[in-house]
Amino acid sequence: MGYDMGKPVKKVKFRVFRYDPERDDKPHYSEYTIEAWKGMSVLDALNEIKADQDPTLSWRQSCRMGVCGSCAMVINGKPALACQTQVLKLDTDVITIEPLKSFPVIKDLAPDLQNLFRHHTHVKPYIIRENEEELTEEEPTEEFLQSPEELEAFLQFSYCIKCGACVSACPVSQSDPEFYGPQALAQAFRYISDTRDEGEEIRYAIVDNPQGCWRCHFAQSCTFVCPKGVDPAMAIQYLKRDLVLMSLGMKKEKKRAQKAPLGAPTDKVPEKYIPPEFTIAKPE
Amino acid sequence: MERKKRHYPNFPGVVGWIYGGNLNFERVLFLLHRITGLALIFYLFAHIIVVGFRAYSPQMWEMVMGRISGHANPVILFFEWLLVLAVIFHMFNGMRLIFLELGFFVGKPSRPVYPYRTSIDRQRIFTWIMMILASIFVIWSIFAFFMGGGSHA
Ligand code: HEM
Ligand code: SF4
Ligand code: SF4
Ligand code: FES
Repeated sequence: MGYDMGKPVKKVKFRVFRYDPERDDKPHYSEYTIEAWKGMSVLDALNEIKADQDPTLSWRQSCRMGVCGSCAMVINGKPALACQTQVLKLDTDVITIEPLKSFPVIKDLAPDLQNLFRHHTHVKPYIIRENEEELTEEEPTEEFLQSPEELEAFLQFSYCIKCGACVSACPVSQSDPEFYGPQALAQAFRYISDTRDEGEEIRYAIVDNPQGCWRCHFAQSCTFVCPKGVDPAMAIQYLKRDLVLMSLGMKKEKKRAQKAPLGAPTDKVPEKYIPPEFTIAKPE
Repeated sequence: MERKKRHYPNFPGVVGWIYGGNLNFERVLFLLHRITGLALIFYLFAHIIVVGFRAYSPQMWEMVMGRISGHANPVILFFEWLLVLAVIFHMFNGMRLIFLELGFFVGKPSRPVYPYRTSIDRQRIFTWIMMILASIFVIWSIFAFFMGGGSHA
């Protein structure tokens, strides 16, 4: 087999949640023992099990490097990306693997994420412009300027890979599928914080309801499990803060991105928009 | 045999509040806040009923209090103390939540550089301060209830 990336270090038992919609009424657990090697991810382990022991085991994967968001599952009680979780770092002899909670299970470890994307699309996760034609111009003549600080205001939230780990961990989502959930609410805040966006009033109106940001009780489990450092809990509390400030008439007006002619020479661009010089440390 | 395929629901429901898995400390506080909040509402109703006995007669009131007050019964004294613990926790954690849910002490968005720092790390110290303040009140309550240090004696 092509698995000699590292030498076997120890035997690890995998207890894997199984559910076959064509045969089972209830889920059960199957056990597999494998030799774990240094550098082996849980996803590698599942692939070895499927190749050598049980071809009927199912899950979803694609990039195997923490980018696509396909392989989130509950590993030893914590939702995580299988491809980013090192078997040996878990430091247990038995590893329990279950599908993400709060989502219906299609088969074994593959959850049906329709609810995640329903909430995600509901908050309008895209740039909204008052002049819609700006977004569809065939030959645009202007571009938006954004300073590094303006980028940092939303960059972290834009790292979301829609894996669903946060929704699986959230105690509110676990008992209320109509709660928008940390993923969607964080995306609402991501676009609200983007100076290019002009749709903040629409989005504030969407999240300002009992199934929106007010349903969050700040258990912070979403932030605890997010594999990309998105910190949905922080985003949601800022949504609440903004809504409270708005109701008091104390919210400052949002800054809009300035525009410049496409490809304008940098000496025409205000200084704060010029990114810091990019340097690569030279090897000694 | 043809069998209709169906998804397994996998919704933890209320069980998820109690057992979330291998998760964070703040989630325990969330659960305790919910339990103590509900306990306080339950107590509020019980309290209204008990205090309502005053409306009948002074003798009735004396009789009821003689049976169910902590002065008369150490088991009830213990439950009264649990109630005080619930109030102390709910109050301090409630103040903590008011600050945090209005976006104080959770930090600002920053460049996502690995290892990620999140609002969990940033608010922990504030959380500990609130919990230590709560513990001081808990210690006080032990004196007041069981060591004759307070007005209860
Ligand atoms: C001492 C003053 C109090 C403070 C500072 C306080 C604070 C809070 C806060 C901030 C919340 C919302 C927490 C969240 O976002 O999940 C809350 C929830 C709640 N409180 Fe209080 N509270 C106090 C007293 C009380 C009393 C006296 C009762 C009962 C009569 C009570 C019952 C509840 C209940 C049932 C909830 C809902 C819990 C949940 O949804 O998880 N609270 N409290
Ligand atoms: S916020 Fe984090 S945990 Fe949630 S879907 Fe996005 S990447 Fe996954
Ligand atoms: S902070 Fe809010 S959204 Fe995140 S897990 Fe807690 S309740 Fe859910
Ligand atoms: S396989 Fe793409 S995130 Fe794990």
